[in-house]
Amino acid sequence: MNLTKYFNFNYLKENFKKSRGILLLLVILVPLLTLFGIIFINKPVNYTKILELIEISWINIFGMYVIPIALSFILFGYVYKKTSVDFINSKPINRKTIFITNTIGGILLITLIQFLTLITLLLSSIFIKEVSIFTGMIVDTFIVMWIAYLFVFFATNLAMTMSGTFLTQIALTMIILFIIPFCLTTFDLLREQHINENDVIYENTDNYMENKNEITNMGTIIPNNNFIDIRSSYTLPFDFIWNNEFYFSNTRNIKMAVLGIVYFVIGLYLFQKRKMENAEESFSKVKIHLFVKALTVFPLLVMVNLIDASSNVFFILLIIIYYFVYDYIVRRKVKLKYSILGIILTLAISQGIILGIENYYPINPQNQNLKISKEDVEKISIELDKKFTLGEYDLNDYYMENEELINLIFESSEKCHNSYEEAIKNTTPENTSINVNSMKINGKFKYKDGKIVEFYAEVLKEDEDKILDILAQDENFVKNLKDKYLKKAIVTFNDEVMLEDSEQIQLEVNKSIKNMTLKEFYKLYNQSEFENYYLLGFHYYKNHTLIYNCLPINISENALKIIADNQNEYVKEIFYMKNNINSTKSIKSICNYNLYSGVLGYDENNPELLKFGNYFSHTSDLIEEFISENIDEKIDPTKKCYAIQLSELGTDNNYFSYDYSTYFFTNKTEEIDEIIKKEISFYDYDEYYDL
Amino acid sequence: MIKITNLNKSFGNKKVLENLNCNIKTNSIYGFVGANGAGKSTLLRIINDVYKADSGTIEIDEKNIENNQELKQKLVFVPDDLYFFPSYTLKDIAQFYNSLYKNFDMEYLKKLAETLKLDMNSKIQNFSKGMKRQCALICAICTNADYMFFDETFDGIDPVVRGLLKKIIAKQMEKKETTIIMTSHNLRELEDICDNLALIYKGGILFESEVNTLKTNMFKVQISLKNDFDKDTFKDLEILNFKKIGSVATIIIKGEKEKEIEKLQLLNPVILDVLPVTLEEMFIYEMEVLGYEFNQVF
Repeated sequence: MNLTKYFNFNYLKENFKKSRGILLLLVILVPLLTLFGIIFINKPVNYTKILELIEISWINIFGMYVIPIALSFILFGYVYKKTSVDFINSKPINRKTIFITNTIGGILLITLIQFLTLITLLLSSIFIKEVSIFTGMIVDTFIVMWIAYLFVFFATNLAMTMSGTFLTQIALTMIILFIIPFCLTTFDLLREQHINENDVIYENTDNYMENKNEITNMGTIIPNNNFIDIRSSYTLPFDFIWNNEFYFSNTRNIKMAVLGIVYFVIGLYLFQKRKMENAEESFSKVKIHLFVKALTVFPLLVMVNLIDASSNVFFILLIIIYYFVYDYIVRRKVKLKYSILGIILTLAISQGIILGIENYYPINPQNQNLKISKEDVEKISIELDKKFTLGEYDLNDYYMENEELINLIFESSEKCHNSYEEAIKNTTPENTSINVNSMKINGKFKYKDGKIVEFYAEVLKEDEDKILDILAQDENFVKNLKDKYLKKAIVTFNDEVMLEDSEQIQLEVNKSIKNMTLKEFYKLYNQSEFENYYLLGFHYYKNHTLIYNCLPINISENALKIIADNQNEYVKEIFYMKNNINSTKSIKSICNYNLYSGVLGYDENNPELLKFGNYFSHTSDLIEEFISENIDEKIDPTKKCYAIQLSELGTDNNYFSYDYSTYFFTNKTEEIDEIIKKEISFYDYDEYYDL
Repeated sequence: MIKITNLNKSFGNKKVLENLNCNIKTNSIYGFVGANGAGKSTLLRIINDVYKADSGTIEIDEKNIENNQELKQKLVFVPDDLYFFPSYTLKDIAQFYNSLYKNFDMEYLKKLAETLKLDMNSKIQNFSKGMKRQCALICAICTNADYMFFDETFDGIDPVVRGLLKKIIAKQMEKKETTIIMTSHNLRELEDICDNLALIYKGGILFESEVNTLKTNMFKVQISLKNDFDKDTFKDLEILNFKKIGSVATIIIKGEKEKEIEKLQLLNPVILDVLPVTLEEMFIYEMEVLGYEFNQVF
């Protein structure tokens, strides 16, 4: 097989050479900005932060909208100029070879960009000690962004084969990337809007609940349509703009890869058929030009209907102006009668579609299609409490084929619903604290037909023990539950502050929870007292997601020592910075720094201290002085100790929206008690309590 | 040999080439002349596979040019509007040609650049229009392609360099059996170099002939006879044009020069001078025979 028929290295080399400056810039831009992003934006001053997927990828994501388009223009831009078309297409290289060679060139450059970004992130995770990045996350970013860049690149190349100017290429690229998902999503929103506007239940019950779903949830179980269908459906370029989310999804990756290949094949065919004489004109035919123009304006029309249909007249005026400006920008002369015809047709079709949707979806206040029938359920996966499972997705799906449990949940949920209705009858809008005898249960049902739905139900608290007993019989369930904390993770204390001695803490945790029964563990899970319990975070990267689980652990003296020493070290650093404004470390942070302190420790004699914390608004100077004097304190974990919380003011100068906080541990509890007494003496205690 | 059969090309509703037929022999210089917009450049672009024809065929050495990479090695095209990569020097652009044409002769290019006093290391974008065309022409010549297409060949080049380039082209034809296809809207530019000429008018070839045939088959005489005379006096001759001022007539005669002169000698002329005919005149008179006004065509 003669490969030169498909790929011409010399041509590619020259194509790169002619734009070497801009190509070099494009190649280093993302890795360089990613590094700057980590150093100047994500990197905290005084603690080590575990970066999330979006935090290491946002520059790369923005690059996705620019770099592949720029690469396509550099590699294929010659088609937009008649002189360069003559120059290139007359050379002994046919169009198929040009297309394939340039595409391979683009793939190589995109791979290089992503590879350099990968290396940058890996090196950052090694050398920048203030950030911690999971290697799996870095690899995932590489895979997602590589596929996404290629997808945009192929879509842009496809647009190039059909357009005669760079501007029309961009317009067409946007259409290829966005028009279908945009229409599907907005139609869906239109449909939902239509249903909600006619929803009787919502109007009757809005005194108690924010939306109708929660009402139906109380007694019944609804599927989370979004979880299964929407999340993995759209390609990244659209999804990021529309949902502002970034996550790893194999379905989406495959979709982008398949679409990318389809775009490549169509692009190759169209490039060979391309009318090169159309360079410097939008499209070869006026009809296509008008059609594309209509497509560019169509999403805006749908949006207007979605937002406020009454602004249509003003918007139609804008559309008319846009129609003529578009022609001017893309340098295509269109006769007035065609333009007017185009405007009328576009408006008529878009309005027709919107009316069609509204008529197609009838009023459906009962929303019956959302209810789940017990008979359909085959298996159940359950989460005991969402309180401490803060991970965005439950990835520890463990499905049990347990009829007893399923029946119990349905029955208890029904009973709870009835008691809830009773409660509503006896409740006034001022007294909405109802149904204290219920508890929430989250999980997923697997239907007999294989479909999975997420449920959210409320069951009677008196059934809690029964549920736990059933669950305890399933060893795998218990193992699964504990695995979240037993597997190797980065353990954190105080949310974002990473402990350097994760491994040792992990060992301590393993020791304490490994042999617990389910009930013991569940009690721990719902631990609300803080004496000797420290809320630890467990971070690990599994199934392409950063998992973060919290658990209040009665940690050993050894672990407490590690935590305390770490925290005190951070505090020492903060105080050093505060007192040395010439320090090379972040001066901005020092200037904004303010203190308030609270005691984390539990005081049996004065339990309210814990509940409300102690905000040393009158004695902050004393606390600060105390910390300064004892800045080098190494605590003895065998003795009683307090942890003083120090928070930096939030960006809005509000104590309660602090950017981060840290703790100063001390054994000198008597001295702190003295300060607390002084602070309390400033208040009328009853008044303080009410506050 | 290039064989063009029933070639058609439209840009939108405008027909640019209409049923164009043409045969171009190997190792000749073939000139296409015609007014601006006649379709000369479009024809060259289609032959070089830059544009696709709407219908019709182009065969070069009995092979179809479309998507034929091997065949395109035998072709080189210098368009009317030149293009060079920004910031490229002549050396860079020669390397570009070198990377794409298997038979590119870099040494010869250096020699030609030296002859034409073109700095290999200066950016082409800083060159004058004529120098840019020289660069394009010598790069094309050094490809050693079998078929060279030059659109508006000598546009912007001064007469001295023009002469030099004509010599270089002629030398190239000696060196290798090269076929040169040139276009120009100026007939005088092609007359001393082309072997064949074709006149393109409204997308088709209106008239095509070998220049030698034209030159040997047509001549101009100034003649005066003792007695009064008019056009009918020469009814035995094929007269393309007759103009009489006073007693002297200027006649353009089609036919074999020696034989026709003998016929004129029989009339015992007082004056009989054979004058050279320019190519432009030949075209004018041929057009008139075909029923076209020369001004319509150019």
